[in-house]
Amino acid sequence: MHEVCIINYELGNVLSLKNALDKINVKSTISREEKVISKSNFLVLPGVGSFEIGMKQLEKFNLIKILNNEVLNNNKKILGICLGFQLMCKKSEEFGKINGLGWIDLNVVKINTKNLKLPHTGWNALCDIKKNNKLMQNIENENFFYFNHTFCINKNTDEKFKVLAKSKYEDEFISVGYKNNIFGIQPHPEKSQQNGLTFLKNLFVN
Amino acid sequence: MSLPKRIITTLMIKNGVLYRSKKFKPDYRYTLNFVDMHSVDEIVLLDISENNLFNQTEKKLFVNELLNLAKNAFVPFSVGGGIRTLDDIYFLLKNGADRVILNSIALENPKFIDKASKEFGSQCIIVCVDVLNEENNYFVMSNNGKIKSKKNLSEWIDEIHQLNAGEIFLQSVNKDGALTGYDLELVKKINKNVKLPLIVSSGAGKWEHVEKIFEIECVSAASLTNIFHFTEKSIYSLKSFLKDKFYIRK
Repeated sequence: MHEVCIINYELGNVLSLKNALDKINVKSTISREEKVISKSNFLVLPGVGSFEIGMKQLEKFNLIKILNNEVLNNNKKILGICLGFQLMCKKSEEFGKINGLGWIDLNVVKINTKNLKLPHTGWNALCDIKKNNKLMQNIENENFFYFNHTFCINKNTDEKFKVLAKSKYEDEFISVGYKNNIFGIQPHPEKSQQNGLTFLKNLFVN
Repeated sequence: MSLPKRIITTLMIKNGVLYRSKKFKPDYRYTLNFVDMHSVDEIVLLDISENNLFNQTEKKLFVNELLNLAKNAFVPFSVGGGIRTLDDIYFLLKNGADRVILNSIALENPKFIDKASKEFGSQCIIVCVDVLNEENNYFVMSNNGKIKSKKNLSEWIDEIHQLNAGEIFLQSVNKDGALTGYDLELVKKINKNVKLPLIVSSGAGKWEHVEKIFEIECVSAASLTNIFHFTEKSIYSLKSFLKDKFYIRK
């Protein structure tokens, strides 16, 4: 069991996330204070926002240095959700080219679709699930998760990054993956009913 | 493949009390507990209080409902009514909303749509379009559907796209609470303009109405407003009705 700090950088549906963690009996705090962050043993970087503002907000609250230290030096586990996942990557082309936290050597690009609507809003299935990984226990191919995004990571360009599930919206993109202590998920597990709670349980409880 | 068509339950709260639709009085026999949380794809929660600005006491009652509902429902919440500033949006996201719906402010200051999208991402920003049908002339309505605006419907739809909105929530003033079916002509009229995801609201009274609206290409989601549908398992039964005809999430 982990004590979780949900990083509050004033972007993101932080309460939705806390409610989901409460539901699976994982104790969590919404905070951006250095001492709370360093005391907790798991971090979550939520995300409802644009990439540029996301980086600006992290900078504004002096979180980049704190997070770099916790994640890269102390190897603290962190889960990035949606924009939070994208911010952990190298750069994004959302509203111009902007650098991210750069923990994972991946690029965030606009979802490649000619015929389908953007944003990619609604319930979509996971596919190519790596079932032997404990994070994906009891989650099956074709299980639905809630997505709400226009940008995605569609190529694995980091040899240390492991893709655990993909999704398809005309083209394929990465839905779940990790690199060492850094975990990322593109859909919103906190909004994906039982499947989402199962994923969070796999990560935080099991 | 495109996404499963979504079934959305829209809840209207006036002074902290659940309304079946703007036209009706509140029905105290029903509570939010009637929402079929297992099958519904998304919840829309609208504050239709006369004073729905964020400094009003009515907003506190509304937010209490949002907080209660969000505690046990792990589906997306799109929340609207009275939003005028970026701080209002941030406040809702902090209190259980995942996305927000812009009403009056979108018409008064269209640039706010773009500003909000740049801050919170397009995917977070839904623009509500209220339409009145008067002898087959369609008017974009402001002030909660009460006043005719000067906007031309197709042009306004195009403008919403250019301003980086993430979705459109279409309401028909005539059909609100009518139970006679969605305004199909209205949706057909804008079908070619709509490239964004589209939620169509107002008018559903039976399952066949949802079937008819889903037959129109541009429709991503159907919103059901009336208490009539809020019996337990009702969404499940609607989905069972639709599942052979459309791609629906089980």
